[in-house]
Amino acid sequence: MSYFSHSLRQPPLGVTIVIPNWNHELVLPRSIRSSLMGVQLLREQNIPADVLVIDDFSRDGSRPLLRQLEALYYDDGLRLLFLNENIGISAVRNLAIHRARYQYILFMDADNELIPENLYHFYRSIVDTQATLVYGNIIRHGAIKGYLGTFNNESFQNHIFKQNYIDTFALYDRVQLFDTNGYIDHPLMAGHEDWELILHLATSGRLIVFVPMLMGYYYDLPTSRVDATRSQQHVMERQQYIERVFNQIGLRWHLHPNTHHLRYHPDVGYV
Amino acid sequence: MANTTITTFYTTIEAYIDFYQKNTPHLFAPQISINPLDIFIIRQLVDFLPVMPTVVDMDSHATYGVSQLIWVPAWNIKKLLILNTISDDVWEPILEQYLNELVQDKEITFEYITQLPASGDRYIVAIIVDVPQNFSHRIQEIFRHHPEAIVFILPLPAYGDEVALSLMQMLQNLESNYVTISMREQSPFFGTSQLGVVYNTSRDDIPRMVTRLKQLYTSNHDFLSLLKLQIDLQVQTLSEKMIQHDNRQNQQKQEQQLQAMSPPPQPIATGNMINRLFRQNANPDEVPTFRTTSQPAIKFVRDTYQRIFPLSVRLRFRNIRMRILGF
Repeated sequence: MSYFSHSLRQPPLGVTIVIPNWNHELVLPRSIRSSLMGVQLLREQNIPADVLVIDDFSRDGSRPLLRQLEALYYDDGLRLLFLNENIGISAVRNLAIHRARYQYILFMDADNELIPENLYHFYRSIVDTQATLVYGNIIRHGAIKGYLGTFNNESFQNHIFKQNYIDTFALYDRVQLFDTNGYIDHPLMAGHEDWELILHLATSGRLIVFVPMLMGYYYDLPTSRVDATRSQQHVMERQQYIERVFNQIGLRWHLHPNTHHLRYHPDVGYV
Repeated sequence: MANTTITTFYTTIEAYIDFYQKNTPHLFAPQISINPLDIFIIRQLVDFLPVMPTVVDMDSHATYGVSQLIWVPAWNIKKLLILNTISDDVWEPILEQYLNELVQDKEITFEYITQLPASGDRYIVAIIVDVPQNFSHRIQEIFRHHPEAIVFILPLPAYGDEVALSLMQMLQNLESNYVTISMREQSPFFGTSQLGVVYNTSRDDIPRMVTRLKQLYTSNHDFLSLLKLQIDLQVQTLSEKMIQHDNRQNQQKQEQQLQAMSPPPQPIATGNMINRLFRQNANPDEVPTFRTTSQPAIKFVRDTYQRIFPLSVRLRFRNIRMRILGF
Protein backbone atom coordinates (compact mmCIF):
# COMPACT_ATOMS: atom_id res chain seq x y z
CA MET A 1 0.00 0.00 0.00
CA SER A 2 1.65 3.21 -1.11
CA TYR A 3 1.07 6.44 0.70
CA PHE A 4 3.35 8.38 -1.64
CA SER A 5 0.86 8.53 -4.48
CA HIS A 6 1.44 12.19 -5.19
CA SER A 7 4.32 14.52 -4.55
CA LEU A 8 4.94 16.34 -1.33
CA ARG A 9 4.59 20.06 -1.77
CA GLN A 10 6.75 22.53 0.10
CA PRO A 11 5.71 22.17 3.69
CA PRO A 12 6.06 25.13 6.05
CA LEU A 13 8.99 25.22 8.48
CA GLY A 14 8.14 23.78 11.86
CA VAL A 15 7.97 20.50 13.71
CA THR A 16 5.31 17.81 13.72
CA ILE A 17 5.78 15.27 16.49
CA VAL A 18 4.44 11.95 15.24
CA ILE A 19 3.26 9.26 17.66
CA PRO A 20 2.06 6.05 16.06
CA ASN A 21 -0.13 4.15 18.47
CA TRP A 22 -1.20 0.55 18.58
CA ASN A 23 -2.83 -0.56 21.84
CA HIS A 24 -0.80 1.67 24.17
CA GLU A 25 -3.74 3.28 25.94
CA LEU A 26 -2.19 3.27 29.38
CA VAL A 27 1.11 4.88 28.45
CA LEU A 28 -0.16 7.30 25.78
CA PRO A 29 -0.85 10.23 28.14
CA ARG A 30 2.82 10.31 29.12
CA SER A 31 4.10 10.62 25.55
CA ILE A 32 1.36 13.05 24.52
CA ARG A 33 1.90 15.23 27.56
CA SER A 34 5.65 15.51 26.98
CA SER A 35 5.19 16.18 23.27
CA LEU A 36 2.55 18.87 23.87
CA MET A 37 4.99 20.54 26.24
CA GLY A 38 7.59 20.37 23.48
CA VAL A 39 5.11 22.02 21.10
CA GLN A 40 4.41 24.75 23.61
CA LEU A 41 8.11 25.50 24.08
CA LEU A 42 8.70 25.60 20.32
CA ARG A 43 5.74 27.92 19.83
CA GLU A 44 7.21 30.23 22.45
CA GLN A 45 10.22 30.51 20.13
CA ASN A 46 7.90 31.30 17.18
CA ILE A 47 8.43 27.89 15.64
CA PRO A 48 5.14 26.34 14.49
CA ALA A 49 4.59 22.85 15.84
CA ASP A 50 1.94 20.24 16.42
CA VAL A 51 1.55 16.62 17.53
CA LEU A 52 0.09 14.04 15.17
CA VAL A 53 -1.10 10.81 16.75
CA ILE A 54 -1.90 8.08 14.25
CA ASP A 55 -3.86 5.24 15.70
CA ASP A 56 -3.17 2.01 13.84
CA PHE A 57 -6.52 0.37 14.51
CA SER A 58 -6.11 -0.09 18.28
CA ARG A 59 -8.55 -2.34 20.10
CA ASP A 60 -7.70 -1.50 23.69
CA GLY A 61 -9.58 1.70 24.45
CA SER A 62 -7.00 4.03 22.96
CA ARG A 63 -9.53 5.51 20.57
CA PRO A 64 -12.01 7.08 22.98
CA LEU A 65 -9.11 8.31 25.07
CA LEU A 66 -7.52 9.91 22.01
CA ARG A 67 -10.84 11.48 20.99
CA GLN A 68 -11.16 12.99 24.44
CA LEU A 69 -7.62 14.33 24.33
CA GLU A 70 -8.14 15.74 20.85
CA ALA A 71 -11.30 17.57 21.95
CA LEU A 72 -9.44 19.05 24.91
CA TYR A 73 -6.08 19.83 23.33
CA TYR A 74 -6.80 20.55 19.67
CA ASP A 75 -5.93 24.22 20.16
CA ASP A 76 -2.69 23.20 21.86
CA GLY A 77 -1.70 21.36 18.69
CA LEU A 78 -2.92 17.80 19.15
CA ARG A 79 -3.98 16.22 15.85
CA LEU A 80 -5.40 12.77 15.43
CA LEU A 81 -5.82 10.28 12.62
CA PHE A 82 -7.62 6.95 12.92
CA LEU A 83 -6.87 4.19 10.44
CA ASN A 84 -9.49 1.78 9.13
CA GLU A 85 -7.21 -1.23 9.41
CA ASN A 86 -3.97 -2.27 11.05
CA ILE A 87 -1.25 -1.47 8.54
CA GLY A 88 1.92 -1.84 10.60
CA ILE A 89 4.45 0.62 11.90
CA SER A 90 6.34 1.23 8.63
CA ALA A 91 3.19 2.11 6.75
CA VAL A 92 2.01 4.32 9.60
CA ARG A 93 5.27 6.25 9.60
CA ASN A 94 5.13 6.60 5.81
CA LEU A 95 1.60 7.90 6.13
CA ALA A 96 2.85 10.39 8.72
CA ILE A 97 5.55 11.56 6.32
CA HIS A 98 2.76 12.30 3.88
CA ARG A 99 0.20 13.76 6.25
CA ALA A 100 2.30 15.76 8.72
CA ARG A 101 1.91 19.49 8.52
CA TYR A 102 5.44 20.80 8.94
CA GLN A 103 8.79 20.13 7.33
CA TYR A 104 10.43 18.38 10.26
CA ILE A 105 9.00 15.40 12.02
CA LEU A 106 10.00 13.86 15.29
CA PHE A 107 9.12 10.19 15.41
CA MET A 108 8.51 8.82 18.87
CA ASP A 109 6.83 5.66 20.06
CA ALA A 110 3.72 5.75 22.20
CA ASP A 111 5.74 4.54 25.20
CA ASN A 112 8.58 7.07 24.77
CA GLU A 113 8.81 10.32 26.65
CA LEU A 114 10.30 13.46 25.16
CA ILE A 115 12.49 15.90 27.07
CA PRO A 116 10.66 18.99 25.82
CA GLU A 117 13.30 21.58 26.68
CA ASN A 118 15.83 20.07 24.27
CA LEU A 119 13.57 19.86 21.23
CA TYR A 120 14.35 23.45 20.26
CA HIS A 121 18.08 22.63 20.14
CA PHE A 122 17.49 19.59 17.96
CA TYR A 123 15.40 21.79 15.69
CA ARG A 124 18.24 24.30 15.44
CA SER A 125 20.65 21.47 14.68
CA ILE A 126 18.63 20.03 11.82
CA VAL A 127 18.03 23.47 10.29
CA ASP A 128 21.72 24.37 10.58
CA THR A 129 23.10 21.09 9.23
CA GLN A 130 20.33 20.39 6.70
CA ALA A 131 20.62 16.77 7.76
CA THR A 132 17.98 14.17 7.07
CA LEU A 133 18.08 13.06 10.65
CA VAL A 134 19.45 14.37 13.92
CA TYR A 135 19.45 12.25 17.03
CA GLY A 136 20.54 12.53 20.63
CA ASN A 137 20.99 10.41 23.73
CA ILE A 138 18.11 8.35 25.01
CA ILE A 139 17.77 7.22 28.60
CA ARG A 140 16.69 3.62 28.91
CA HIS A 141 14.34 2.98 31.79
CA GLY A 142 13.49 -0.52 32.98
CA ALA A 143 10.29 -1.61 34.66
CA ILE A 144 12.04 -3.04 37.73
CA LYS A 145 15.51 -1.53 38.02
CA GLY A 146 14.65 1.97 36.78
CA TYR A 147 17.63 3.66 35.11
CA LEU A 148 19.42 1.22 32.81
CA GLY A 149 21.82 3.56 31.02
CA THR A 150 21.83 5.64 27.86
CA PHE A 151 21.99 4.68 24.24
CA ASN A 152 22.06 6.55 20.91
CA ASN A 153 25.38 7.66 22.25
CA GLU A 154 27.77 7.79 19.33
CA SER A 155 27.98 9.25 15.85
CA PHE A 156 27.38 7.30 12.67
CA GLN A 157 30.21 4.85 12.03
CA ASN A 158 30.49 1.79 9.86
CA HIS A 159 30.03 -0.71 12.65
CA ILE A 160 26.33 0.19 12.49
CA PHE A 161 26.17 -2.25 9.56
CA LYS A 162 26.74 -5.02 12.12
CA GLN A 163 24.41 -3.78 14.81
CA ASN A 164 22.09 -0.83 15.16
CA TYR A 165 22.64 1.75 17.89
CA ILE A 166 20.40 4.56 16.65
CA ASP A 167 16.75 4.50 17.66
CA THR A 168 13.77 5.81 15.69
CA PHE A 169 13.21 8.44 18.37
CA ALA A 170 14.85 11.31 16.43
CA LEU A 171 14.11 14.42 14.39
CA TYR A 172 13.81 13.98 10.61
CA ASP A 173 13.54 16.19 7.57
CA ARG A 174 10.26 14.98 6.18
CA VAL A 175 10.93 16.14 2.62
CA GLN A 176 14.19 14.22 2.46
CA LEU A 177 12.51 11.14 3.90
CA PHE A 178 9.81 11.44 1.27
CA ASP A 179 12.37 11.80 -1.49
CA THR A 180 14.22 8.70 -0.28
CA ASN A 181 10.99 6.70 -0.10
CA GLY A 182 10.61 6.45 3.64
CA TYR A 183 10.38 3.19 5.52
CA ILE A 184 10.34 -0.31 4.05
CA ASP A 185 7.91 -2.96 5.20
CA HIS A 186 9.91 -6.20 5.10
CA PRO A 187 9.18 -9.17 7.40
CA LEU A 188 12.87 -9.70 8.23
CA MET A 189 13.18 -6.09 9.35
CA ALA A 190 10.09 -6.15 11.54
CA GLY A 191 11.00 -4.30 14.72
CA HIS A 192 14.17 -2.99 13.05
CA GLU A 193 12.72 -0.75 10.34
CA ASP A 194 14.58 2.20 11.82
CA TRP A 195 17.92 0.42 11.31
CA GLU A 196 17.13 -0.29 7.68
CA LEU A 197 16.11 3.33 7.14
CA ILE A 198 19.30 4.67 8.70
CA LEU A 199 21.47 2.41 6.53
CA HIS A 200 19.43 3.39 3.49
CA LEU A 201 19.85 7.10 4.23
CA ALA A 202 23.57 6.76 4.89
CA THR A 203 24.21 4.76 1.75
CA SER A 204 22.14 7.30 -0.21
CA GLY A 205 24.55 10.03 0.84
CA ARG A 206 22.22 11.77 3.26
CA LEU A 207 23.43 13.26 6.51
CA ILE A 208 22.74 11.66 9.87
CA VAL A 209 24.01 13.87 12.67
CA PHE A 210 24.55 13.09 16.32
CA VAL A 211 23.74 15.93 18.73
CA PRO A 212 25.20 15.33 22.20
CA MET A 213 22.04 16.14 24.11
CA LEU A 214 19.25 14.17 25.72
CA MET A 215 16.30 13.47 23.45
CA GLY A 216 14.08 11.55 25.86
CA TYR A 217 13.28 8.34 27.67
CA TYR A 218 12.81 4.84 26.33
CA TYR A 219 10.78 2.61 28.64
CA ASP A 220 11.23 -1.15 28.51
CA LEU A 221 7.86 -2.84 28.27
CA PRO A 222 7.40 -6.52 29.12
CA THR A 223 5.86 -7.31 25.73
CA SER A 224 8.10 -5.26 23.48
CA ARG A 225 7.77 -5.90 19.77
CA VAL A 226 11.55 -5.92 19.38
CA ASP A 227 11.99 -8.75 21.92
CA ALA A 228 10.14 -11.07 19.58
CA THR A 229 12.84 -10.58 16.94
CA ARG A 230 15.82 -11.58 19.10
CA SER A 231 15.89 -15.30 18.35
CA GLN A 232 19.22 -16.57 17.03
CA GLN A 233 17.80 -17.60 13.69
CA HIS A 234 15.97 -14.33 13.17
CA VAL A 235 19.11 -12.35 13.96
CA MET A 236 21.14 -14.37 11.46
CA GLU A 237 18.56 -14.04 8.72
CA ARG A 238 18.26 -10.33 9.36
CA GLN A 239 22.02 -9.91 9.22
CA GLN A 240 22.15 -11.79 5.93
CA TYR A 241 19.45 -9.55 4.56
CA ILE A 242 21.35 -6.41 5.62
CA GLU A 243 24.54 -7.77 4.05
CA ARG A 244 22.71 -8.59 0.84
CA VAL A 245 21.14 -5.15 0.56
CA PHE A 246 23.92 -2.87 1.75
CA ASN A 247 27.17 -4.79 1.53
CA GLN A 248 26.98 -7.24 -1.34
CA ILE A 249 30.66 -7.18 -2.26
CA GLY A 250 32.02 -6.60 1.24
CA LEU A 251 33.43 -3.15 0.52
CA ARG A 252 31.26 -1.23 2.91
CA TRP A 253 33.84 -1.34 5.70
CA HIS A 254 36.33 0.55 3.57
CA LEU A 255 33.96 3.28 2.42
CA HIS A 256 33.18 6.23 4.60
CA PRO A 257 29.78 7.71 3.81
CA ASN A 258 29.16 11.48 3.84
CA THR A 259 27.68 11.15 7.25
CA HIS A 260 30.67 9.41 8.82
CA HIS A 261 31.30 10.63 12.35
CA LEU A 262 29.19 13.79 12.20
CA ARG A 263 28.57 15.36 15.59
CA TYR A 264 27.01 18.77 15.94
CA HIS A 265 26.07 21.05 18.77
CA PRO A 266 23.98 24.12 17.87
CA ASP A 267 25.98 26.38 20.18
CA VAL A 268 29.38 25.11 19.08
CA GLY A 269 29.09 23.78 15.53
CA TYR A 270 30.58 20.48 14.38
CA VAL A 271 32.54 18.83 17.16
CA MET B 1 -17.69 7.27 9.93
CA ALA B 2 -16.12 5.64 12.96
CA ASN B 3 -12.62 6.72 12.02
CA THR B 4 -13.10 10.41 11.56
CA THR B 5 -11.53 12.89 13.94
CA ILE B 6 -11.42 16.65 14.32
CA THR B 7 -8.21 16.57 12.34
CA THR B 8 -9.91 14.72 9.47
CA PHE B 9 -12.25 17.61 8.84
CA TYR B 10 -10.25 20.58 9.99
CA THR B 11 -7.03 19.94 8.05
CA THR B 12 -8.51 21.37 4.84
CA ILE B 13 -9.66 24.48 6.67
CA GLU B 14 -6.34 24.93 8.42
CA ALA B 15 -4.59 24.72 5.07
CA TYR B 16 -7.05 27.28 3.64
CA ILE B 17 -6.30 29.73 6.44
CA ASP B 18 -2.55 29.31 5.80
CA PHE B 19 -3.13 29.76 2.08
CA TYR B 20 -5.23 32.86 2.67
CA GLN B 21 -2.60 34.51 4.82
CA LYS B 22 0.15 33.74 2.34
CA ASN B 23 -1.75 35.12 -0.61
CA THR B 24 -3.18 38.36 0.70
CA PRO B 25 -1.88 41.19 2.78
CA HIS B 26 -5.16 41.05 4.72
CA LEU B 27 -5.42 39.06 7.89
CA PHE B 28 -7.78 36.14 7.95
CA ALA B 29 -10.42 37.86 10.06
CA PRO B 30 -13.91 36.53 9.42
CA GLN B 31 -16.86 37.98 11.24
CA ILE B 32 -17.31 34.71 13.12
CA SER B 33 -14.82 31.85 13.34
CA ILE B 34 -15.89 28.27 13.81
CA ASN B 35 -14.37 26.07 16.46
CA PRO B 36 -12.70 22.87 15.04
CA LEU B 37 -14.69 20.79 17.52
CA ASP B 38 -17.96 22.23 16.19
CA ILE B 39 -16.98 21.38 12.65
CA PHE B 40 -16.37 17.81 13.73
CA ILE B 41 -19.71 17.60 15.53
CA ILE B 42 -21.63 18.97 12.55
CA ARG B 43 -19.96 16.56 10.14
CA GLN B 44 -20.34 13.62 12.46
CA LEU B 45 -24.03 14.25 13.09
CA VAL B 46 -24.68 14.62 9.37
CA ASP B 47 -22.84 11.32 8.79
CA PHE B 48 -25.24 9.67 11.25
CA LEU B 49 -28.36 10.71 9.33
CA PRO B 50 -30.22 7.81 7.72
CA VAL B 51 -29.99 9.32 4.22
CA MET B 52 -27.67 11.81 2.59
CA PRO B 53 -29.07 15.29 3.21
CA THR B 54 -29.07 18.49 1.23
CA VAL B 55 -26.99 21.04 3.09
CA VAL B 56 -27.70 24.75 2.94
CA ASP B 57 -24.84 26.97 3.99
CA MET B 58 -26.58 30.17 5.01
CA ASP B 59 -23.53 32.23 5.98
CA SER B 60 -20.50 31.44 3.93
CA HIS B 61 -19.63 35.14 3.81
CA ALA B 62 -19.60 35.48 7.60
CA THR B 63 -16.91 32.81 7.92
CA TYR B 64 -14.85 33.72 4.84
CA GLY B 65 -15.90 30.44 3.24
CA VAL B 66 -14.99 28.17 6.16
CA SER B 67 -18.57 26.96 6.57
CA GLN B 68 -18.41 26.00 2.90
CA LEU B 69 -15.16 24.08 3.40
CA ILE B 70 -16.68 22.02 6.20
CA TRP B 71 -18.07 19.85 3.40
CA VAL B 72 -14.76 19.16 1.68
CA PRO B 73 -14.35 16.24 1.18
CA ALA B 74 -18.07 15.84 0.71
CA TRP B 75 -18.88 12.38 1.97
CA ASN B 76 -22.45 11.59 2.83
CA ILE B 77 -24.16 14.70 1.52
CA LYS B 78 -26.35 14.95 -1.55
CA LYS B 79 -25.54 18.52 -2.49
CA LEU B 80 -24.36 21.76 -0.99
CA LEU B 81 -26.33 24.91 -1.57
CA ILE B 82 -24.66 28.19 -0.70
CA LEU B 83 -26.89 31.10 0.01
CA ASN B 84 -25.08 33.97 -1.60
CA THR B 85 -26.52 37.35 -0.88
CA ILE B 86 -23.28 39.32 -0.82
CA SER B 87 -20.96 39.12 -3.79
CA ASP B 88 -17.41 40.22 -4.53
CA ASP B 89 -16.05 39.68 -1.09
CA VAL B 90 -12.27 39.74 -0.81
CA TRP B 91 -12.06 36.11 0.30
CA GLU B 92 -14.09 34.59 -2.54
CA PRO B 93 -11.40 34.52 -5.25
CA ILE B 94 -8.89 33.21 -2.70
CA LEU B 95 -11.20 30.37 -1.74
CA GLU B 96 -11.78 29.56 -5.38
CA GLN B 97 -8.05 29.59 -6.07
CA TYR B 98 -7.42 27.39 -3.04
CA LEU B 99 -10.02 24.86 -4.13
CA ASN B 100 -8.67 24.76 -7.66
CA GLU B 101 -5.01 24.57 -6.81
CA LEU B 102 -4.69 22.66 -3.58
CA VAL B 103 -7.70 20.49 -2.85
CA GLN B 104 -7.48 17.19 -4.67
CA ASP B 105 -10.39 15.22 -3.29
CA LYS B 106 -13.17 17.78 -3.48
CA GLU B 107 -15.82 15.52 -4.96
CA ILE B 108 -18.31 18.31 -4.59
CA THR B 109 -20.02 20.86 -6.73
CA PHE B 110 -21.28 23.96 -5.06
CA GLU B 111 -24.51 25.48 -6.11
CA TYR B 112 -25.05 29.12 -5.33
CA ILE B 113 -28.61 30.17 -4.53
CA THR B 114 -30.13 33.51 -3.64
CA GLN B 115 -33.01 32.22 -1.56
CA LEU B 116 -33.97 29.06 0.27
CA PRO B 117 -35.27 26.22 -1.88
CA ALA B 118 -38.99 25.72 -1.52
CA SER B 119 -39.05 21.93 -1.78
CA GLY B 120 -40.18 19.94 1.23
CA ASP B 121 -37.07 17.80 1.60
CA ARG B 122 -37.16 16.08 4.98
CA TYR B 123 -33.41 15.72 5.13
CA ILE B 124 -32.25 19.23 4.85
CA VAL B 125 -29.57 20.64 7.06
CA ALA B 126 -29.09 24.37 7.42
CA ILE B 127 -26.16 26.11 9.04
CA ILE B 128 -26.52 29.58 10.44
CA VAL B 129 -23.39 31.37 11.55
CA ASP B 130 -24.50 34.76 12.73
CA VAL B 131 -24.72 37.03 15.72
CA PRO B 132 -27.23 35.48 18.16
CA GLN B 133 -29.65 38.42 17.87
CA ASN B 134 -30.46 37.37 14.31
CA PHE B 135 -31.10 33.71 15.07
CA SER B 136 -34.82 34.04 15.80
CA HIS B 137 -36.15 35.29 12.51
CA ARG B 138 -33.73 33.22 10.45
CA ILE B 139 -34.69 29.98 12.17
CA GLN B 140 -38.37 30.84 11.71
CA GLU B 141 -37.74 31.45 8.02
CA ILE B 142 -36.13 28.04 7.58
CA PHE B 143 -38.85 26.20 9.47
CA ARG B 144 -41.51 27.99 7.43
CA HIS B 145 -40.09 26.37 4.31
CA HIS B 146 -38.85 23.14 5.83
CA PRO B 147 -40.61 22.24 9.08
CA GLU B 148 -38.46 19.15 9.61
CA ALA B 149 -35.09 20.65 8.85
CA ILE B 150 -32.13 20.34 11.19
CA VAL B 151 -30.62 23.72 11.91
CA PHE B 152 -27.14 24.17 13.30
CA ILE B 153 -26.64 27.55 14.92
CA LEU B 154 -23.32 29.12 15.78
CA PRO B 155 -22.19 30.64 18.11
CA LEU B 156 -24.72 29.71 20.77
CA PRO B 157 -24.79 32.35 23.52
CA ALA B 158 -23.94 31.48 27.08
CA TYR B 159 -26.75 30.59 29.47
CA GLY B 160 -27.90 33.49 31.56
CA ASP B 161 -27.31 35.71 28.57
CA GLU B 162 -30.30 37.84 27.58
CA VAL B 163 -29.99 36.73 23.97
CA ALA B 164 -30.07 33.08 24.99
CA LEU B 165 -33.25 33.64 26.97
CA SER B 166 -34.98 35.43 24.11
CA LEU B 167 -33.88 32.63 21.80
CA MET B 168 -35.43 30.02 24.06
CA GLN B 169 -38.61 32.07 24.27
CA MET B 170 -38.80 32.35 20.51
CA LEU B 171 -38.40 28.60 20.08
CA GLN B 172 -41.21 27.99 22.54
CA ASN B 173 -43.50 30.35 20.64
CA LEU B 174 -43.04 28.56 17.35
CA GLU B 175 -46.16 26.84 16.04
CA SER B 176 -44.82 23.33 16.38
CA ASN B 177 -42.62 22.01 19.12
CA TYR B 178 -38.97 22.70 18.50
CA VAL B 179 -36.04 21.71 20.66
CA THR B 180 -32.58 23.21 21.00
CA ILE B 181 -29.69 21.07 22.09
CA SER B 182 -26.62 22.84 23.36
CA MET B 183 -23.74 20.57 22.46
CA ARG B 184 -21.49 21.90 25.23
CA GLU B 185 -23.86 20.31 27.74
CA GLN B 186 -23.75 16.88 26.17
CA SER B 187 -20.30 15.78 27.22
CA PRO B 188 -17.46 17.12 29.39
CA PHE B 189 -15.31 17.01 26.26
CA PHE B 190 -17.62 19.35 24.35
CA GLY B 191 -17.08 22.14 26.85
CA THR B 192 -15.65 24.50 24.23
CA SER B 193 -18.44 23.89 21.74
CA GLN B 194 -20.61 26.81 20.71
CA LEU B 195 -22.95 24.73 18.60
CA GLY B 196 -26.70 24.52 19.00
CA VAL B 197 -28.91 22.07 17.16
CA VAL B 198 -32.52 23.07 16.58
CA TYR B 199 -35.00 20.49 15.33
CA ASN B 200 -38.64 19.48 15.37
CA THR B 201 -39.61 17.10 18.17
CA SER B 202 -41.24 14.85 15.58
CA ARG B 203 -37.73 13.84 14.57
CA ASP B 204 -36.82 11.05 16.92
CA ASP B 205 -33.58 10.31 15.12
CA ILE B 206 -31.74 13.38 16.40
CA PRO B 207 -31.50 12.38 20.10
CA ARG B 208 -30.24 8.97 19.03
CA MET B 209 -27.58 10.61 16.86
CA VAL B 210 -26.48 12.82 19.73
CA THR B 211 -26.27 9.82 22.06
CA ARG B 212 -24.20 7.97 19.49
CA LEU B 213 -21.85 10.93 19.23
CA LYS B 214 -21.50 11.11 23.02
CA GLN B 215 -20.65 7.41 23.13
CA LEU B 216 -17.66 8.07 20.90
CA TYR B 217 -16.24 10.03 23.82
CA THR B 218 -16.99 7.45 26.50
CA SER B 219 -14.08 5.53 27.96
CA ASN B 220 -13.10 3.85 31.19
CA HIS B 221 -10.97 6.83 32.07
CA ASP B 222 -13.47 9.60 32.42
CA PHE B 223 -11.34 12.56 33.43
CA LEU B 224 -13.86 13.93 35.89
CA SER B 225 -14.15 10.55 37.65
CA LEU B 226 -10.37 10.29 37.67
CA LEU B 227 -10.16 13.74 39.20
CA LYS B 228 -12.74 12.83 41.83
CA LEU B 229 -10.89 9.59 42.61
CA GLN B 230 -7.66 11.50 42.88
CA ILE B 231 -9.19 14.06 45.25
CA ASP B 232 -10.81 11.33 47.38
CA LEU B 233 -7.50 9.51 47.58
CA GLN B 234 -5.68 12.68 48.57
CA VAL B 235 -8.27 13.53 51.22
CA GLN B 236 -8.00 10.00 52.61
CA THR B 237 -4.20 10.12 52.64
CA LEU B 238 -4.21 13.56 54.20
CA SER B 239 -6.65 12.58 56.95
CA GLU B 240 -4.53 9.51 57.73
CA LYS B 241 -1.46 11.71 57.88
CA MET B 242 -3.25 14.18 60.14
CA ILE B 243 -4.28 11.40 62.53
CA GLN B 244 -0.71 10.12 62.59
CA HIS B 245 0.55 13.64 63.19
CA ASP B 246 -1.88 14.17 66.10
CA ASN B 247 -0.89 10.83 67.65
CA ARG B 248 2.77 11.68 67.37
CA GLN B 249 2.24 15.09 68.96
CA ASN B 250 0.27 13.57 71.86
CA GLN B 251 2.99 11.03 72.40
CA GLN B 252 5.66 13.73 72.43
CA LYS B 253 3.65 15.79 74.93
CA GLN B 254 3.30 12.79 77.26
CA GLU B 255 7.01 12.07 77.04
CA GLN B 256 7.82 15.71 77.82
CA GLN B 257 5.56 15.63 80.91
CA LEU B 258 7.22 12.43 82.18
CA GLN B 259 10.66 13.90 81.70
CA ALA B 260 9.74 17.04 83.63
CA MET B 261 8.80 14.95 86.71
CA SER B 262 12.20 13.15 87.06
CA PRO B 263 15.64 14.86 87.43
CA PRO B 264 17.68 15.19 84.29
CA PRO B 265 20.15 12.37 83.76
CA GLN B 266 23.86 13.07 84.41
CA PRO B 267 26.30 12.40 81.65
CA ILE B 268 28.28 9.23 82.12
CA ALA B 269 31.85 9.41 80.89
CA THR B 270 34.33 7.37 82.86
CA GLY B 271 34.55 4.77 85.60
CA ASN B 272 36.01 7.40 87.94
CA MET B 273 32.96 9.51 87.44
CA ILE B 274 30.74 6.59 88.38
CA ASN B 275 32.81 6.07 91.52
CA ARG B 276 32.59 9.74 92.34
CA LEU B 277 28.85 9.72 91.90
CA PHE B 278 28.58 6.63 94.02
CA ARG B 279 30.60 8.24 96.77
CA GLN B 280 28.65 11.48 96.55
CA ASN B 281 25.36 9.66 96.98
CA ALA B 282 26.41 7.07 99.55
CA ASN B 283 26.97 7.72 103.31
CA PRO B 284 30.76 7.54 103.85
CA ASP B 285 30.34 6.04 107.34
CA GLU B 286 28.36 3.10 106.13
CA VAL B 287 30.34 2.21 103.01
CA PRO B 288 33.35 -0.02 103.71
CA THR B 289 36.33 0.82 101.53
CA PHE B 290 39.71 -0.76 101.13
CA ARG B 291 41.18 2.17 103.06
CA THR B 292 38.91 1.80 106.09
CA THR B 293 39.00 -2.01 106.30
CA SER B 294 42.75 -2.64 105.62
CA GLN B 295 44.64 0.11 107.47
CA PRO B 296 47.08 -2.24 109.29
CA ALA B 297 47.84 -4.28 106.18
CA ILE B 298 48.49 -1.12 104.14
CA LYS B 299 50.82 0.16 106.88
CA PHE B 300 52.78 -3.14 106.92
CA VAL B 301 53.20 -3.18 103.11
CA ARG B 302 54.36 0.45 103.04
CA ASP B 303 56.90 0.04 105.86
CA THR B 304 58.36 -3.14 104.38
CA TYR B 305 58.74 -1.44 100.96
CA GLN B 306 60.51 1.53 102.48
CA ARG B 307 62.86 -0.71 104.44
CA ILE B 308 63.88 -2.70 101.38
CA PHE B 309 64.22 0.32 99.07
CA PRO B 310 65.85 3.32 100.83
CA LEU B 311 64.94 6.86 99.86
CA SER B 312 67.81 7.31 97.34
CA VAL B 313 66.69 4.19 95.43
CA ARG B 314 63.07 5.17 95.55
CA LEU B 315 64.03 8.60 94.12
CA ARG B 316 65.86 6.89 91.24
CA PHE B 317 62.77 4.78 90.60
CA ARG B 318 60.75 7.93 90.51
CA ASN B 319 63.18 9.57 88.00
CA ILE B 320 63.03 6.51 85.69
CA ARG B 321 59.24 6.46 85.93
CA MET B 322 59.06 10.14 85.07
CA ARG B 323 61.40 9.68 82.10
CA ILE B 324 59.32 6.82 80.74
CA LEU B 325 55.96 8.44 81.26
CA GLY B 326 57.17 11.93 80.29
CA PHE B 327 56.28 13.86 83.42
